[in-house]
Amino acid sequence: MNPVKKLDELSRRSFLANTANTAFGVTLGGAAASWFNSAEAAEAIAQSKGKAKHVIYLYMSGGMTHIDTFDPKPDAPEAYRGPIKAISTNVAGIQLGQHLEKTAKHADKMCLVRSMNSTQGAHAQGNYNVHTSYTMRSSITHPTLGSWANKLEPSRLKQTLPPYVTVHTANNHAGAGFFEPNSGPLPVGDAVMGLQNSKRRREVTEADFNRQIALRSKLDQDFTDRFSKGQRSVRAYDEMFNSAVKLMSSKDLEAFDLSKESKGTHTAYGSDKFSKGVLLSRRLIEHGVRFVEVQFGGFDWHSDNFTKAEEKLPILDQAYAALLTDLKQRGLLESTLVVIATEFGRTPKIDDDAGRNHFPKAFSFALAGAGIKGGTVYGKTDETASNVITKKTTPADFNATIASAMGLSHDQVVFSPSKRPFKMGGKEGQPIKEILA
Amino acid sequence: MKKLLHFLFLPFVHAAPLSDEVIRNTAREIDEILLAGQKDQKINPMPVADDPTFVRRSYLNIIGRLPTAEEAKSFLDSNDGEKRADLIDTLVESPGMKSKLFNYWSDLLRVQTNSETSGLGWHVWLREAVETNMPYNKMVHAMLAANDHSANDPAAGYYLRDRGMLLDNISNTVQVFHGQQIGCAQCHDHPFDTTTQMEYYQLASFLAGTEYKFEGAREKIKEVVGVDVDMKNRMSGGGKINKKDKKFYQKQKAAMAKQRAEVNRKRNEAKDLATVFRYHNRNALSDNPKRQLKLPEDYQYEDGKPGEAIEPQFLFGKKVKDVAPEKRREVFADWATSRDNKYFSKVVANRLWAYTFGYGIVPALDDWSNSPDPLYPELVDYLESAMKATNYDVQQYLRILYHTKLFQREVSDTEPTQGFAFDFNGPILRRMEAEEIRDSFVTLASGNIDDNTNYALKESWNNYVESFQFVMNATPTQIREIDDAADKAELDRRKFQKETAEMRVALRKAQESGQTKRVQTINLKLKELRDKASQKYRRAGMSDTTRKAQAAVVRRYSPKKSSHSPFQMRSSEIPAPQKGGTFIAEFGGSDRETPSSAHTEASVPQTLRLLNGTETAILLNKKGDFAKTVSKLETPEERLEQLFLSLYSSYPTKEEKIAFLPEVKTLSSTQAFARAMITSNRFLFVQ
Repeated sequence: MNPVKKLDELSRRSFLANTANTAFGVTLGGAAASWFNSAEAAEAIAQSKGKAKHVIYLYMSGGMTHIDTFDPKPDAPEAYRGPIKAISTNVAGIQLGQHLEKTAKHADKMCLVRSMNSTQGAHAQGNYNVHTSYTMRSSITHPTLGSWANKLEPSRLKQTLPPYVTVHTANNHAGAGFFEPNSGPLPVGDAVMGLQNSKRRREVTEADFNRQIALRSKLDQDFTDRFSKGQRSVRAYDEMFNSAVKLMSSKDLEAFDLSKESKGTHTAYGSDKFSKGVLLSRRLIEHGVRFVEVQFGGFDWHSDNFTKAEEKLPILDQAYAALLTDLKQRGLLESTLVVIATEFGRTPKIDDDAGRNHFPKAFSFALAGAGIKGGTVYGKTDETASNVITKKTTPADFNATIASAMGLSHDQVVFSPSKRPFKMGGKEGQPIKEILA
Repeated sequence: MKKLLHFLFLPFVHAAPLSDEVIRNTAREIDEILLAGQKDQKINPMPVADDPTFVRRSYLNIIGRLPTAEEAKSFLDSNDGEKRADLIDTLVESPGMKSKLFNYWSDLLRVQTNSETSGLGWHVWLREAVETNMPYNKMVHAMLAANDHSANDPAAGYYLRDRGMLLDNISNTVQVFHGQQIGCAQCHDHPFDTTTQMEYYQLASFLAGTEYKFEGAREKIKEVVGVDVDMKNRMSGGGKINKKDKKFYQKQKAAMAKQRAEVNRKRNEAKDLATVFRYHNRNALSDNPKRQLKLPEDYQYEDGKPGEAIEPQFLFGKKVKDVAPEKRREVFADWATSRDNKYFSKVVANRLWAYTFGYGIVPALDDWSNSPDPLYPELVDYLESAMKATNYDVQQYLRILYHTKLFQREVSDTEPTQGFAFDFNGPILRRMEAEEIRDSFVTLASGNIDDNTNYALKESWNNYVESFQFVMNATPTQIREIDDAADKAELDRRKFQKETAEMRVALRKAQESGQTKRVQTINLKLKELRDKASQKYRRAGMSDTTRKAQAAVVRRYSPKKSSHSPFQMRSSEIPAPQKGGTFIAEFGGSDRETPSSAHTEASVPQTLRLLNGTETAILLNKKGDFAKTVSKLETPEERLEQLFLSLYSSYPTKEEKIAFLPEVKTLSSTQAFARAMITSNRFLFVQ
């Protein structure tokens, strides 16, 4: 690997200063923040101006239909509307698709962006554009929002957990992009299984384990003496080793343990793997994780749209509503932004297979919680949800809005290793000031 | 160039190794240039490394795995004065070298085995190219000149990898083979470089004819049905319409109507038959000489108009005139891989230097125009000539590098400073690549399995190609039969999806209302449906014709099961990229998304995996070679020696014996000790 490729201008300078790096991320400007430095206080986070200290990003993979969910058109012809009815919410004038009845009780917390528009109508490209604010290129991988958040404002909370976690995301998640790989997310493959390998193996006693740790140091004595000073990678491995061991015995590890939740909570969120992922995200942000993405796959309904809607949307509905209720009850909603996103919408005109196809021309995203104005709708589509009429919003604009809600700069330039300039809000994304609280 | 090479323009015998004398002389020249340069810079080269360091490094750097305890012991115990040179030559000739090289090229080129059937073909083709030591220039030329369906030319996988993203493909080509970053210039003049947007488009013009179509399909359908699929509804014959003669007119009208109906029927049949070839286009590449590249609508510079068609021109080097449209691709491939191309040879020579020593002489492997200046420019030139003189024989070129004194020196204590060239007082300390860690574990558990090729991949590809040829040569009757079967299969698939979706809704309702008996019933029904839809069941009802055609007709052809179990194969034999959460992915294995995306950065999941994961446990499981051997040893001395030889490739020193013998008194304490060794930096890093 060419180390030069992986660093940007700012980081290069800080490396020249030969500072030790954090266990989970490389900080800007040379000031090292260790996760175990108890002198660091949560004041650092308080300094950030944005209201959203945490983001829970729920990603519906496959292209979630918009007309059946967040942008119903009860007056449209049946050839568009299909059998799904619109229902009222607890906000006058806002309606949702009938499968979102639990969500309807939380419309006062939500801002619906109904004027999403993108040029990327293929899965990989659409997914990428939504996650990174840039168009997919095979010559560079851009960072995702969670990595941007870490880059622009490294989290200095006293905690042993990584600031960015993804749950059930597919392999093509752009992750850290061209940022240092360890500013990328810690991936959880299965929320029910939790963090893999975080427990000592059964056949290894605690005494043996401790012995093993001590022996490692001893074995590495000469190696460390010789290389630690001049080799960043060696220091990084030692730090990572210590982080991992501390994590194993850390109380924060229980953040990944869903069995700690009551049966009632489990039932409230639901039994699907996605529901467990959402529950996990609440636990993680409670323990200080800053950005959690939970993916829910299977929205590519080219056929039998309505059967699948009946099967899948209630799962989303239940988990989402339970999350908002839960966050509210725990006083976390005022510092947590919950996002629902997808790569594109689906054609309003139903096709011969009772399905809908890819539709990037118009689709809907939802925001709830910190930093945004609840009970609002931004943007409008026409009578069949086929065209955006007002306030067209690109995924880059949307991400710029998330950045602002988090108190981060949507247009601070960071250079890639290939010396091209990039920003959290993409090339031209602008935050939607109207919906920011 | 200060020194002439001792051999120039060898006859083209790519499989034959160069003579020892030629290798040693060239290596010595390299050392001398380096030493002279280092003397100028007042740099002291590192001393020659000891045998344990050398043997471990040689195995890892040349064949990508640790030596076994026996291999290490055999080297360490030998008193042969030539043992280092002999070891290098043996390793270069061994299958392990090809395994490691294949990982390297696949990472650089972003090969995805399972992306489409063409991905499989490309993987198999590239693996074969490495296996036969295809000269690098021929390998690259084959990919850049490819112009045919993947089944006929699997090298087309290079272009198909970036299907629909032609401009990005050009970016990658120029980055990978010429070490230039021109991606920015897609949209505007490059701010840091001299590449303008116009120049970018001029280069891309060579590939303007790129189409992802397979004319063969259309022609075949025409053969079967008698009409072109795209044919518009034309009426022919009938002559002039004579309304005066009513009876004749009626007859004529009837005849025309009949003809129209017949044409429509044929068109519909053609459309229907298109399903047989539906997936052929996904793996198809062709070149249309009539297509041209046009400047984008928002082109903002004065040297061209938006929407203007562009003539192809080289990015650097001697300009070309009047390229015949049907020759564009060939001309491009020739230019890109020419001996006279300013960057082609230098860039790969520099890459392979970095492959061997951990850093380029020119630091920015992908960005020569913006790289820090190398400390030894003369060496850059010399390496370029050496590459050309070997006729792009990658394995012999590497062999030269392995025979340098530099390759024997201890690693530098300090890593290269970011943003600066490196002085190469020694090679560079690095962590093992993800594949190397995995392959080392596999070798520890199973012994030397370098010979285990996964020929199932090649078989699967050949099967696909046969199936493809069968369809292309099938009779009209056979085509119709295949089409009927494909249509039926599609209907069945949709029916299956619908039925299972309905069942799953019912299942959830039953689960929520606690009706356990109903849940059981539904689960049984689901299983029944799934079994029915499974391959085995379907294949039982297939005719000979449909079975032969199947591989070519399905959406994605899944390779046969591997030839060996994962524990018996090197990483190079396994389809890539590996999914997130797998061992290789967690240790930074290439995701094949961007060139050279593999990394060796630390992360917590890696450590957790080594500490508590199944791989380590399997290693210590008595069923594997490693643990079995250790468990049979009776004294602490034997155990300690076996552990050190296996994991560190060295005998324990006197001090190490004093320190660690107490730790291997019992078998269980030995296990803990082995775990400690596996998580040590001394194990993970290559000195």
